[in-house]
Amino acid sequence: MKTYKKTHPISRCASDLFLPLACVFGCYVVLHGSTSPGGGFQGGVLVASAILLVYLGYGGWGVKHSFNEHMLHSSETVAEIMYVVIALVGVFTGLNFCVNFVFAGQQVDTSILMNDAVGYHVMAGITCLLIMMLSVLEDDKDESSQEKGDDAA
Amino acid sequence: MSGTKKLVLALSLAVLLICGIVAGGRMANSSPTYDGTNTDLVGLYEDPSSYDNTQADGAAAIMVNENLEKTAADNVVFSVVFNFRGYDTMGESFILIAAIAGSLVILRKAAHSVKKEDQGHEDL
Repeated sequence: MKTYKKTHPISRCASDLFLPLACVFGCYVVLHGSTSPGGGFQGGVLVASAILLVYLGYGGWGVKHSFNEHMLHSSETVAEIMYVVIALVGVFTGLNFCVNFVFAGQQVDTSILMNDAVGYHVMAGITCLLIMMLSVLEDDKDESSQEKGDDAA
Repeated sequence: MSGTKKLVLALSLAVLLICGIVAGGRMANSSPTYDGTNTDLVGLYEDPSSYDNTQADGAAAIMVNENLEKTAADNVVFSVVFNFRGYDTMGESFILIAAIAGSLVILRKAAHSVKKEDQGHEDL
């Protein structure tokens, strides 16, 4: 059975240690976006950077076995539709596009949901992009190793 | 993709399209939020240094002073990004979608062509 390529134990342990921290901190930034200046884009990119930790710790095998690229690419579109629908609800309640329609005076706010949708969208999109780049990197590596093997033969 | 899946997809997209058209009609009929009556845009453009900034001049003052009653958001920057300039954020997300789709097309093509070349070598 083919398992992950043996990387250096230090990088593997470090990725094990920092992976949950990166995910939790990114989710915190996304969910905390309503009381801080924005946070959907930034938090999404923070969560998406976790894939680089997976790559550092477990190589291309780990990335291929822990992420579903098609799922990510479609969930990106789902998040965009979520954003547009939540923004359109403001129009159907008699107000304008993107306007908060919960006028109770508390912190309950439709733009929090829009912020979450943007965070989800950026998370899925950047992860998809990084998977594509890492797969191209792996292909290049395979090619160069094959060429070396041909030279040796 | 099976027939029922395609049907569900087409139906949901049609519902979204109808919602968008209806919402566009309602938006066209509703009154504007800010009509810019008190702002002298030509004066601001021609001589920005001498423009009177002490007076509340329209959109910026509305955003800062009436933030809480208009949006119920704690943070002014957040309410600007997601309420007052929601269209802008939506456009940004569409730009991200377009960028990712473009890179997906190019990189997938490269990967496929490499695989095809390998198969060709094996055949030879």
